[in-house]
Order: sequence, then C-alpha cells, then structure tokens
Amino acid sequence: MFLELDTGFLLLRGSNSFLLVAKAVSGFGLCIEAPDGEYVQGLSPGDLVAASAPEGGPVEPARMLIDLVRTYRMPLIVLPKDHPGSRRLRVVVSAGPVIELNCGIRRGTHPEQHLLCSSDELAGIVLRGVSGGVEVSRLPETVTVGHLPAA
Amino acid sequence: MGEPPMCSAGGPADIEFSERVKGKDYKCNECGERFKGLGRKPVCPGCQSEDVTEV
Repeated sequence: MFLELDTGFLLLRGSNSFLLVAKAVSGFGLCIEAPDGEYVQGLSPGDLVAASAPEGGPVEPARMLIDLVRTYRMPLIVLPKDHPGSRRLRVVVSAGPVIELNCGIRRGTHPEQHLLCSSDELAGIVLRGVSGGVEVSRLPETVTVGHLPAA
Repeated sequence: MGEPPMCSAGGPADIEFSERVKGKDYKCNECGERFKGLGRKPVCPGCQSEDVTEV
C-alpha cells in the first residue's frame, strides 16, 4: 500500500499503540552510540525516521523525538542488553530506508536500524521510503492511518 | 528461531540476533576522521562529507 508523505508525519494508530513516521529531509550521518562502540548510519533524503510507542500515549513526544533526529541530528543511544532503563522507554526511534516493526525485541537495546520495537498489534508492518511517500506492507486492517503537518 | 516471540507491556520478550551489526571502517577524505559506517551511503559524522574511503 502506498501512503503519501512529504515533510509531515504519517500516523499509524492501533487500539493501544501507535507509530509515527517521517522522512529525512536531508542526508546526514546519524550516530548510533552502542555498548560496543559508535556506528554511523548514512541517511539519504527520503529515508524514514520512525518513532514507535508500544503503549500509546500522547503523539507529541514521538514528534519531538523524530525532529530531534532528523532536524537536529541527535545521536541514538543503544542500551546494553538487560539494562533496567529499557523498561522506562515509552517511545523508541529507528531510521533507515526500510523499517520493520517487531514486538519481540527489547526496546532500546539493539542498534540494528531496520528493526523497531512495537506492540504486537503493529508487529510485522514493513515500511519502505519511496518517492513521494511510504510503501507499507503487512498493515493490519484494524490500524488507522492519518497525517500530521510538519511542525 | 521457532515460535514467534510474544510481547507484554511490562517486559517484552527478547530475541537473540544471529548476526550482530557489522559496520565497515571508513576514513573521511575531508577531515580525516575514522568511523564505523552502516548503510548504503556512509557519511562522516564529523564534517558530514560523503567523500569517504573504506579502510
């Protein structure tokens, strides 16, 4: 399914969780600070930056996190496995040309940017940044799609 | 991996990745910074130059 997206946000909302998706507006090196060192993910204009809220809640923090990454190029911090802070994270972020939602990963602990922690109701969704929008596959029928303007 | 992992709000189950992140080592030809890059288009984290060489 093709969903249109420019500089704003795409909101995929389940009954108790949501995913907010935006596109990188410029290319840059996104620093990923992992326990075993620093990695730099090269992002191109049109690549995706997505924020997942597995327990739902307000959308604004997700929008802020996306803008911290795509506009202000804030590094992503990856927690070590079993770090107690993992359960405090209400919103997690991932960036890249393709993002797959997965409910079986411990949030905030994996540097692999093609995987993003989600609720089970959104798990399996695959997003791919394409010209003019996002190609979404495995979208459950229960998930609603909306758009939010750029800040 | 066999059964699909189960989720819970309080403590999501975990899966072990069979492959860890494999970044490639690059050197920036503009500022000389060395870094471990991921993705199709490596970009220097120091000066944002795309003029980098795998080392």
